[in-house]
Amino acid sequence: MAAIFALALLVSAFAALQRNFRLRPEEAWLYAGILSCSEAVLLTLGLGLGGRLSSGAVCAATWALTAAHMVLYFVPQNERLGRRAAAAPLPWALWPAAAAAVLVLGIRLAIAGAVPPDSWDGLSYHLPIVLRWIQQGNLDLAGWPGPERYYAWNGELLSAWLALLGGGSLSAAKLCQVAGLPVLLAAAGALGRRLAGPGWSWACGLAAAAMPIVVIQSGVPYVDVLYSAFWLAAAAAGVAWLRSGGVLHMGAYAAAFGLALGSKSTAYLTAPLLIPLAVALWSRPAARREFVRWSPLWVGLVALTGLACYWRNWLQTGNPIFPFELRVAGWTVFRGITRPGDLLVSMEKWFFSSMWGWAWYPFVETIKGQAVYTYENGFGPVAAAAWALSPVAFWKAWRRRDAAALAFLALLPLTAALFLIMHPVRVPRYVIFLPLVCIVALAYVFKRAGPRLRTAVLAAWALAVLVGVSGVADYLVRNDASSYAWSELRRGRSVDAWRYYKDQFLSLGEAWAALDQRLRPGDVVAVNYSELMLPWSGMPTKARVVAVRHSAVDYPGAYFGATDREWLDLLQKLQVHYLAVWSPSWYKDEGDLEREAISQLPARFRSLGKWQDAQMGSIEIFEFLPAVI
Amino acid sequence: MYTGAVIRDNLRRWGRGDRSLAGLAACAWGVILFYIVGHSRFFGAWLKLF
Repeated sequence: MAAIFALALLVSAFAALQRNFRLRPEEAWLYAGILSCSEAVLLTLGLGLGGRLSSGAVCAATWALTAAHMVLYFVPQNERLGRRAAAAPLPWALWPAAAAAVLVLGIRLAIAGAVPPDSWDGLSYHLPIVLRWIQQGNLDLAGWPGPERYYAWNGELLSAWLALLGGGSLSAAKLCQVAGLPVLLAAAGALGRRLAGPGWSWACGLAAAAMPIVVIQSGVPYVDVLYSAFWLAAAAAGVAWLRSGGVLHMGAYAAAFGLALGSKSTAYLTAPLLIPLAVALWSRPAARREFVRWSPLWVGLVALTGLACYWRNWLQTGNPIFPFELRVAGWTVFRGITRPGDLLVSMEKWFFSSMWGWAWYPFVETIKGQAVYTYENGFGPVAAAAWALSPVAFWKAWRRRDAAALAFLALLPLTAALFLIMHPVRVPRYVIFLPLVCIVALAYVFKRAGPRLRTAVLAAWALAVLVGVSGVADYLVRNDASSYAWSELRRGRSVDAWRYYKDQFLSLGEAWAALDQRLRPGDVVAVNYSELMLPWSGMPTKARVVAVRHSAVDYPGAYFGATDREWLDLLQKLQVHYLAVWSPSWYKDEGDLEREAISQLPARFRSLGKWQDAQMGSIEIFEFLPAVI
Repeated sequence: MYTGAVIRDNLRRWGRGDRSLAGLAACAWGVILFYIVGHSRFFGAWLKLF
């Protein structure tokens, strides 16, 4: 149901734009994607802020927007439209690769749709935040234990929109990143067409949408694909505005820039997208006049689609980038509780031993010594070839004095440098947009190739896409849980969600399954350690999960009790029914204070079972009993 | 005479450009083949998938 609503919104937006503006087909689809995602974000935000986040309201608002698109389609403006550019055909050399990509994407989504919500961050905060909003009907995250309540939230807003379109279940929300695929496909296609010609449109679109990490991540509730899709969309609309001018391109550029800004709290990676704007203002007097005249629209769209989460942080903490501190030349601009540099950088060691390993990494793509793809890595061989030849693209753009191409290509070294200098956790998934820039650059290198040479390059391109999607197939069958799910689907059987979780999370999965049998709608479950929080709410989700710690927490408003009495009172105040105490193997002391307090109060806690293994640590579930007066 | 020279000159230029592009295409093929050697096990996944 959610897919039908979302598709209706997208297709009606495309129809309205195509009818009323003279656009290339790729740009019409791209702007339809930007428009529908912006509308979805804004309607969820508006309803959430008003405390009216419900399935009925979201469905009604989505239908109203779809109807408005159709009105714009049937009542066109009195604008004389010239001849529209035709859609470029898919080159025959790419057909086998495109077929393989569609097949693997289909299998990926079938598995992801059949299994319960998966992925570490998805279960730890992306979906728990969405569930909390849906259960409450508003966007309040009071008591949340970690920094995630201050992060950029467009991904969660889109997930909540999809969940509520589907009646409030998380089955559509867990596939939220699929919403980024049409945007990614159209943005890469539009850039390919603008910079290399219509013959490269499909090649770029296919390579982007079939990039291994994109296909893998489309089945997990992360936001990396969404962010990269909006990032590339802003670059594509910016290049279109730089080349052609026009308020529509400028507006799409602003909305996509805002969507990217509001999807991930990495503003330093989003800020370079202002390069096309700067180049246009510097080189085209017409663009200067247009921007001055329409700057309220530009700023307004960025503010609406991207700045709400920073405004929220400002209101709540006085720092738009909270919990991060910003210091410039020894002067504290924004006071926070974390310096980005203090965060973990150990994950980079999964891929190579030094920062310089990034230069060679696209050719080897190993993780923990294995040449495999995961949802953390997997740019694929097209990106490897594109990375090798990207300096040639710069050289050619310089020789051709191509300002739009140079503005676009400049994003590569600038964002790469900012990523290496500023990003605290350097993992490939945070920069999916970098290989996408390289792929468009590769097409740009072969812009003037003759037909035979172009076919030879497209054959290599197709082979590379095929290898990439084969790597995704390898990902799907390598893992026991995913392999089990696919074998059940092939036999026409449904997947046992708890068995899937037990395969993935061992004793923790067993504890989740045991608690699920006891849960009743409306129960409150408290956890001491908030990672992998979602499954404690049962399946289908019926309980409310809160993290309550027995030690001080830095984040303002987080639930904690510093003493036994405070902790007990808090559990009582929150009407907790069950308490799960998890001591993970990587933080063995976690839960010690809670266990000690429980041992002091045997009349208030009844143990319902204990599970443990070497990998996940130990988990014990308690029933919190009412006080006997 | 003049037209013929222009055509010959243009053909020569086109040939030069395409030859350098052919070298770049060979580079792209080389990188992709190098990548495939390192990831050849991926092809076995199709057998397990079906």
